[in-house]
Amino acid sequence: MARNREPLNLGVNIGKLQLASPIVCASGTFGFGEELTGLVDFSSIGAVTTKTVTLQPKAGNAPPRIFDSGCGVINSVGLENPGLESFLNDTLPKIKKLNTKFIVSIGADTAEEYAEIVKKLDDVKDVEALEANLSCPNIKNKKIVSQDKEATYQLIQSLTSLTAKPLIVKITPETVDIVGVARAAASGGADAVSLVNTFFAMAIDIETARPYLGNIYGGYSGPAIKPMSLYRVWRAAAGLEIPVIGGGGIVNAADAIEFILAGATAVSLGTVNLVYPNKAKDILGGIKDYMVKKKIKDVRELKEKVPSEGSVG
Amino acid sequence: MRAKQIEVIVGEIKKVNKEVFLLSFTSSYLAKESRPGNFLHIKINSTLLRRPFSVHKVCGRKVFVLFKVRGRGTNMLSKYNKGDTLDVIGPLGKGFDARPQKQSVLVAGGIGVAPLVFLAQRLKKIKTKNIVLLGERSKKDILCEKEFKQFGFKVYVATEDGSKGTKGTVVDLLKRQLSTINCQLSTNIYACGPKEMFFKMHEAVKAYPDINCQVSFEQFMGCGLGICCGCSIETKAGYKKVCKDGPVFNLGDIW
Repeated sequence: MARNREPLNLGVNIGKLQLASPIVCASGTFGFGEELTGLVDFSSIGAVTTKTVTLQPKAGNAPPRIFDSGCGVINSVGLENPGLESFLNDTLPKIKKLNTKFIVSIGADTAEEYAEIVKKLDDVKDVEALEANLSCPNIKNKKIVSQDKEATYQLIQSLTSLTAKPLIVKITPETVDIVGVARAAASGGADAVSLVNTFFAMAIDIETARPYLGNIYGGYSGPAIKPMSLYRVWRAAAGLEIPVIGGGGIVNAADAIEFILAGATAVSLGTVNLVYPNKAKDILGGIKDYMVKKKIKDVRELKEKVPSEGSVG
Repeated sequence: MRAKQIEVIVGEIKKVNKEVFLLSFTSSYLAKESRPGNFLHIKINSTLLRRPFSVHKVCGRKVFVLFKVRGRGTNMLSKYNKGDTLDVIGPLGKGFDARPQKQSVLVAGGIGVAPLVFLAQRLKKIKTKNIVLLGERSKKDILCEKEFKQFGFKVYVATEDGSKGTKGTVVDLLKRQLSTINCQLSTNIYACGPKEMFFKMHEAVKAYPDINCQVSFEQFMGCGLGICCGCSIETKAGYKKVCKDGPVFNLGDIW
């Protein structure tokens, strides 16, 4: 009988950040969370990662900005957001009332701008954790920092000294050395890494011979990228001394469990939120069912059940 | 949020013409809460993202969607059968602001007629002089003419090939209306159609600054809930979300 069962532990720690559920909503796919009040059970969500906030308001890229390939979504939103001041004055008072934790995703063009945002947010008591978005593909003519391990190390080291809040680094899959980049973030003092962000992609309308997106190209997400994301999470997590928030194409509980088995401490839901905003509830339910079936009491016991490369005989 | 995620059962799906289908389902909540210009975000098999459809009309607890087959999603939806399940989030978006003016002019470009029937249902309760302008390629494509007449609307038709009504576009019909003195005095214009039509309307109405002109935009959409910024369009005040700031905008805020 259910009441005789020991309760399941679903809580995980992302550095100093304690989450009641291993499910995190990925930046850019959940707004600031408060827009979804009434449609979402926030108690199933460990943390909502906000839309990336920049120092100044950002208009974003030319429309159209989104394309559905049937098995994935290409977006070229380009970090549209109201800017840090509006976030602090208008949005923060609303989101701190939600029944979940939140991670503020931050983006900038230069190390100086990053430092300024981190310093400003470090002073705000209600902000529980930061995620440095070093991986947006929709920034024209600018290098994605997390493609380069040295650049990642330099930037993260400069930021971690400025804040006592947990700092998560969001990494691109578009690098030849994702293991090196994850380790560089850890060496720089990051509390966790989150991967993957989107893959570069495009689509063309053959009738008009024009690209579907106003920005020509964008970032690809959704179920199509899941096997590639899983591989990168498995690679990056092996031997890494900080937790990994793993995701990229998760649409159901089985996908989420795969990422945890591959070495992720928490999982992030992205594109699926656009279709089913309350999906975290279903997926958490599915994880619980799996734990009961496998007689596992603590979600942390699932982690890294899949062997790393060196240990495969 | 007023919107809910609801599973509904397809009650009826009927081919209206070669490319246009009428689908209905029963939902007390959506029937009660939907306003003209609101849309429903529907999950269709074989597409990843939902697809937005404006509420075509409401009869009792029955909600109707009128759609044209244009891509993978609408093609798949046209193959649904009575009894199939649809996952719907709605009602969504900012709809038409139906104002009690002396005269209302509805402007429908092609399948843009879809939300205007629901608006006409509501406008007939407000005692105004009502006109609808329907624009299509050809006589056989004209939609909903009978319904507008039942609601007491005066109907004018324009076809590209001249097979019915005036040969030309719906904006040509609008220009003719605008030239009448009645129209200039106290008129609201409500429109739905392609962006190019709205631009031509803007050119036509800019000489009449007192006329309120509301237009319902279409755009590729991600979430439909205002969280992804995927459906933004350019306005005079910067990018605005079609799903949340619209789909109905004041024409004067766009150009």
